[in-house]
Amino acid sequence: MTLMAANAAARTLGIVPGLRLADARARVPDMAVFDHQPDADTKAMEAIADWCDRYTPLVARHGRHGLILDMTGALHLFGGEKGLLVDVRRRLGGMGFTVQAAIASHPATARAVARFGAGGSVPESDTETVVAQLPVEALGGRETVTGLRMAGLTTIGLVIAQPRHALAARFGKPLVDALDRLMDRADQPISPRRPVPDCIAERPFAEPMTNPDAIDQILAQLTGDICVRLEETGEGARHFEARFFRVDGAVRSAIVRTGQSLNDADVIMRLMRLRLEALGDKLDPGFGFDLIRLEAHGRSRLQPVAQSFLEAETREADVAALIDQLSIRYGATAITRPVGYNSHVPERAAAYVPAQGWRVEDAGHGAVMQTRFASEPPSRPIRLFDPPALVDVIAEVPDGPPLKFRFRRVLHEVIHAEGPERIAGEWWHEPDAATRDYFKVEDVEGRRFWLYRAGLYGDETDRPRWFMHGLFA
Amino acid sequence: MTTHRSVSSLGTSDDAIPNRDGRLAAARSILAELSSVSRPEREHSVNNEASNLVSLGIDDLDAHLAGGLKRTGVHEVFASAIGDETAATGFVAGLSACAMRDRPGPVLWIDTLFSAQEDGLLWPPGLADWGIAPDRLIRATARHPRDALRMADDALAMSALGVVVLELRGPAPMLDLTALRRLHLGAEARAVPCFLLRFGADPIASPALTRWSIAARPGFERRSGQGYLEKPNRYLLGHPRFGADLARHRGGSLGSWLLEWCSDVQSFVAPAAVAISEPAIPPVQHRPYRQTFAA
Repeated sequence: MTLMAANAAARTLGIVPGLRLADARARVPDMAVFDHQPDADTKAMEAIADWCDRYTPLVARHGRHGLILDMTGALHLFGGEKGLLVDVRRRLGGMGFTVQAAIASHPATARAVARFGAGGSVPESDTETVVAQLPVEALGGRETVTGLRMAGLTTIGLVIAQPRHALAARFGKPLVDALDRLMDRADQPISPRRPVPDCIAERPFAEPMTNPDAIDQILAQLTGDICVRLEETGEGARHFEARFFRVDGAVRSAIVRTGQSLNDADVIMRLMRLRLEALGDKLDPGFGFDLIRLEAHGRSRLQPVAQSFLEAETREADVAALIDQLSIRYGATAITRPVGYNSHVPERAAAYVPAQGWRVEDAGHGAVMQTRFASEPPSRPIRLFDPPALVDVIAEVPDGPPLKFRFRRVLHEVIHAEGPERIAGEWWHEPDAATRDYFKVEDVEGRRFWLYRAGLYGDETDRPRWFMHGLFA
Repeated sequence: MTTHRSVSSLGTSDDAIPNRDGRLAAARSILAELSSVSRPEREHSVNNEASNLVSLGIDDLDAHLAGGLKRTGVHEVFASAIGDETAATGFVAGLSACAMRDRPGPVLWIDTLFSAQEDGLLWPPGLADWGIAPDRLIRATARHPRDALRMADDALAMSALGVVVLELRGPAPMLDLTALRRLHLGAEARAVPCFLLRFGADPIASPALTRWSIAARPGFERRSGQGYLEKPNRYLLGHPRFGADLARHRGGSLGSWLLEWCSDVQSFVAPAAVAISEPAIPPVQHRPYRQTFAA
């Protein structure tokens, strides 16, 4: 067993990650040891990253325990670089985390200074001097570091002094690239964990907020702010997310997605209230929220809707509003509409998709939906079992219609059997799919079933199996 | 529809109404008046009482219901025994199709999470044969019967929908008289019929306009919409057939009918007389839920 991490106190005693547990115990017998839980660590990092959203929406994770925040244009909100560092250290320190933080004009520089330097803020003019003092470990890559150290190059300043072509020839391009990034000569974009919102409105509180009515009021104001901004360009958004930052660091969110772009504050707020109501206790204010933010995503041009006098159009809008309302309250996957697909295999011929993204054209592919000929009873069952259920069937001859079958422990005697309707598998999806012979059967009591025999007798199989695929009314 | 008038009700309705012929004639005259009104006029008079009647396609049945099924309220449909769930589903699909025939707006079919496993997934290609086009179907799946009830409540707060179907399996204690009355008032105010489809449950006191108990019945001959009969054939299925028991009828009398659904005309039709005298059917085993659970 080896050590994965050590706190500052342990490090001063010479306990470093990578040491064997037995060796470490030999040095410091009364050391407190905990099991390494990578999943819990990841969760904690995710939670911290969520919490960091309070500073900027551009938060990226770096490695196992690093975060990079792009603070461009947002520093003044937190009292400049120094103010931000103090704030981050104080708040995270208050939650019991040890923080190494640095601010620099480039993510790679900031990371190197935080990890291998003294931390703090690095003014742009001082970048080269600060970076030059860092140990070569900041360049990453164990082999490179060993090679540099063997060559007597212990700090980045010494490495930079070497001719570039020599470095490239000896250590390859990655080292030169790493140097360029550290010295702010090459750009390296960060990839934020969450999509960057198109529009943000937020309100910090000096005193933690717990009163639901006040929270509602604040949200309404934020919604108003965002809608004014959306309206300026005649745009709307389809995805609104309210994020609640709790004093103890937890972040809660409530998401409202709509079928069409919206910029009507009242409508958005009504949907948001439904969502909050559905969340119920999950939006637990605990000791209160100290920041509430509303984000708008998916900004797009508003469909010009003239107030229609036609009943059909207002009706359509009403149906869309109902779908939005139900989707927000019960989840988008709970409200569905059918789509037709071009497939002869019954279970692939249709499916349900969330109603919010559904369009009238999706229901089409009517040729496949309509398999009934004139004067026939319904050709497809009104209820389908997916996957089909295996049933015991007695048939006259192996490739004949069923005579009796047992379904859900009840024996059914077949009076009528219409079929077979032969449906071959789609070889381009499943090369080995058995051919199915479908029978519509009616039992003594007039109940109707859709049974199929999988596999052609004598050709594909010697013991065909029977399945119940659906029920007719 | 005149060809199907040969059917008559099977149950007690004849004894129940003494002046049946007189009322029939009155209802027919109302119907004749109705059908003479041109469609645009009818659409404008949404709150007009006559336009809130849904014709089920069988004159005899419509007349018994005083012109048709009322849009303004809740109608309960129970599966009469275990195994009749699909028949009840078909009956409700048929009722919905009739109700949506001359009204725009989709049907909202509310079921619960396990109904796809228990009774099978409501299948759009099948529903299309029952007169519900895929582009007029919205399906809502509730995690809990209570959510299903709230969904129906939300849906009946607006008049944009054509029909609301609420499908619940087993006894649903939350669906009490208060909840039913709420649904009923919503349906009444918006003139959007609410069909309650109940499986494995016993009826309770309810403000519903009608209550039906539906059982599958063996059907034999196939025919086209014009009433053409083929010889009974072991290898051909006829139109799906139901025994429909009207077990509650607010302001009217009860009765029972034998119905068929004809996908060609997308309406209920009355089965031809031959079928009833068909001797080959053994008596139907009727297993009401109550007895099954008691045993």
